[in-house]
Amino acid sequence: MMPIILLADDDPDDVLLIRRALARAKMDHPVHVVNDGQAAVDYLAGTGAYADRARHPFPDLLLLDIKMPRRSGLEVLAWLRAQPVMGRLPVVMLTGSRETADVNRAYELGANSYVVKPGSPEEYLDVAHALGLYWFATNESPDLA
Amino acid sequence: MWPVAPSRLPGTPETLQGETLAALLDQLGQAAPLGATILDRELRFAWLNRTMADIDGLSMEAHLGRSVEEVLPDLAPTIVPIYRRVLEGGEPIVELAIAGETPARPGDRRAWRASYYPLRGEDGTVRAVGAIVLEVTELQRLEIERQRLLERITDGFVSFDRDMRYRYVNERAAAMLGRPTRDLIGQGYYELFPEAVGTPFEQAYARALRDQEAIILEDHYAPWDRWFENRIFPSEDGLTILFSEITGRKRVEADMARQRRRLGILNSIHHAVLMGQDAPTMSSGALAAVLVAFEAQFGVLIGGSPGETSGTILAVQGHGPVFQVGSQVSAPPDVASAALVARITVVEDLAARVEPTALEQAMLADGVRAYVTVPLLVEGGLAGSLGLGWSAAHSLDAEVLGLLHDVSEGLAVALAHIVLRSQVQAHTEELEERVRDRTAQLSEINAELDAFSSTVSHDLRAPLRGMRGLAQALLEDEGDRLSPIGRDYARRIVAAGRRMDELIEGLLAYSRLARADLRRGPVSLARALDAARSQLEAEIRARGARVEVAGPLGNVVAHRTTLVQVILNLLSNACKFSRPDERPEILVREERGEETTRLWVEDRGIGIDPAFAERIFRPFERLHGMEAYPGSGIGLAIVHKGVSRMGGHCGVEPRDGGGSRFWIELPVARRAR
Repeated sequence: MMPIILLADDDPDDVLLIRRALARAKMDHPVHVVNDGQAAVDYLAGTGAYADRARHPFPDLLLLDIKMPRRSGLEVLAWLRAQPVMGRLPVVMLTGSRETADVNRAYELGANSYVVKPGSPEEYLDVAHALGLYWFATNESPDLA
Repeated sequence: MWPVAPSRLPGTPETLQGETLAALLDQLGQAAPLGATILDRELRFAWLNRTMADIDGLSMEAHLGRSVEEVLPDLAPTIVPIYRRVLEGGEPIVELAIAGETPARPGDRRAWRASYYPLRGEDGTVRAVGAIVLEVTELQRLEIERQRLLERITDGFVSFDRDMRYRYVNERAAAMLGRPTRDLIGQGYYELFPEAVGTPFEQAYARALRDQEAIILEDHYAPWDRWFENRIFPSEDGLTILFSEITGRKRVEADMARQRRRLGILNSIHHAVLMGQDAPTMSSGALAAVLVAFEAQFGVLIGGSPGETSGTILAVQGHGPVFQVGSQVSAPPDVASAALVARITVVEDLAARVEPTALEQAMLADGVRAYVTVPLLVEGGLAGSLGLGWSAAHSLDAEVLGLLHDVSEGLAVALAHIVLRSQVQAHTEELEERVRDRTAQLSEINAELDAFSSTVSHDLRAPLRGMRGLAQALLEDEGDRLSPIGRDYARRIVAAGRRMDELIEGLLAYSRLARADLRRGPVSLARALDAARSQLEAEIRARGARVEVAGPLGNVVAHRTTLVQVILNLLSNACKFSRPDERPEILVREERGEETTRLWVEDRGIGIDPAFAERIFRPFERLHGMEAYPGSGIGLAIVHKGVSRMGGHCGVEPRDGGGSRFWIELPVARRAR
């Protein structure tokens, strides 16, 4: 079964560019998208609008933006790492911020990787290739259920 | 041999039967320590004893049978007439003082005490003269010396008999008593000086005579207003007194005691001021010290300045609610004017005041019966005033007033000290508050800057990424369907987006550098240069640049990451501003000083007009068009900010033969990390 990606990002342009890069990198993994931090928590917890696990399956990788409405990516990360079992989920921060404080805080909260959103589609393609190669071909995934 | 000596006399004890009296008497005469001799009527030596021979300095044999003229030629004119008088008069001459020389000690005048007796025969006629001679030369010498000694005594020396009549007065004593010695001897002390009756001296003399006990007395002799020391030695027959005037010493001692007291009070005032934590404890401590010193029950310390008609109460002791620390008092006009002319005001009996002022009425109500106000002057200016009060009528003699004046000077200085100290304290507190405010403002500004950077980082770049990324996607996905003009526009959107992204990135890097906590340590310039070169490798290779390092590089005190960034920016700058179609040639060298060192980065590029040498280190200053030399204009600003954050300097100079020489200056480190 294909690994599932959950992308938490409020910027539709970024979502479009990421989806395009993943497609171009021949990564036809199912990509589920939530547009704010609270939605990300609900999706992961399987509550509210995301109670149906058939339609909203638990992901194998979370691509998490930091600056989002309602709950920030760092808050989502903190919440996730406090959960039993599902707290093991690999999380890659994918954000526009290069601020040292953001990077350090993300790692302190348990991020597995920190990638700054690139400026051009070519670079996005590189990032997509790297993510696929590392997290789905190289990395060994934990039990999540 | 005795000329007249019966061999036996009636009454001679049986034990001496058979001894002649003449033989016994001769032995006694020989042993006596007195000179004894018998001369006949011709004044020839008939008999003499050993002592007499010794006095004359001649043997017994040299005497016997010879005349006085023959034996003692020097002395003969003195003694021969005496012998003759005795021979002719038949009366003894006793205790006669004789002086002259004998052959025993030629040239040495000696003294004797001699007695001469006529010696009669059986018929009652004077047959011979006997002489008894006592040598008194030494005794006389001692007596003379004693006299001289007594005269030499610088003290007065007098002796009295039991009825206090002068027996002896040395010159010094006579001078002190103001009368010649002859007018004193034999006169009664109390007849001559009736004013001495009733003085401590009279009492001491009487006691010494009565108790036969030596007394040493130091006292003031009121009739003359002078101080004397008396050493009184009694004996059975009177008093001997050594006395000297000690008025000068007593004055010095009194001065010293006053000084000691004054210093003691000043010391306790200064102690109170130094130990006090703040102005109120200093003031009340100083006032308490003054109160103790003057045995006063009430005290008020008022701070004020010249020209002011009122002052602030700084400290209060013993008073009721009228006087409260911090409250204002207006000085009564007379006190104020007294203060201005630096005069002490004394009210010895407040109850006797006909028209007491309001303040005095308040003091009366508090139980004050006497008070004094003292102006406190510092360098001629009025610093305040001191009030002391006593619960009973109190008189202040000149000495106490003098002391009060001295103390007021010390207190005035202390008051000035207290005022200064409280001013300094107030200033310090104000400064501390300002620093706190500024620090709070700064951290607020820093927090705002952080929030701003974060906003720029996240929110400003997100739409830019969209513009740039989507324009690029348009070119890639729909490029075929666009006209050449459409494709050109899309490319320009992409390029503008990239430029703006670089600007934002540069701005963020600059502001990160400005705010970051840069921990400095020893850093090797060579390693920092290597790190910068390898990060810049792509650009160096693309431009075909050559970086040459002249000589070994030392160590500096710097923040490693920042130093690498600074060097990287300088190298990148040197690569970028090369002449068109020329390979950049960059020379790196160090100019090492004792405390600081300069790292030079020299290029043969287009150079910089010295007029702009300052400006190029400011953020977003660009000297060239975007077409020829694209860039954010932030690189050298980062160099400047980074170096100055590390405590260094930077600059640029034109290079001979074209190009620029950039330098950064940093403190020298002794060893590398």
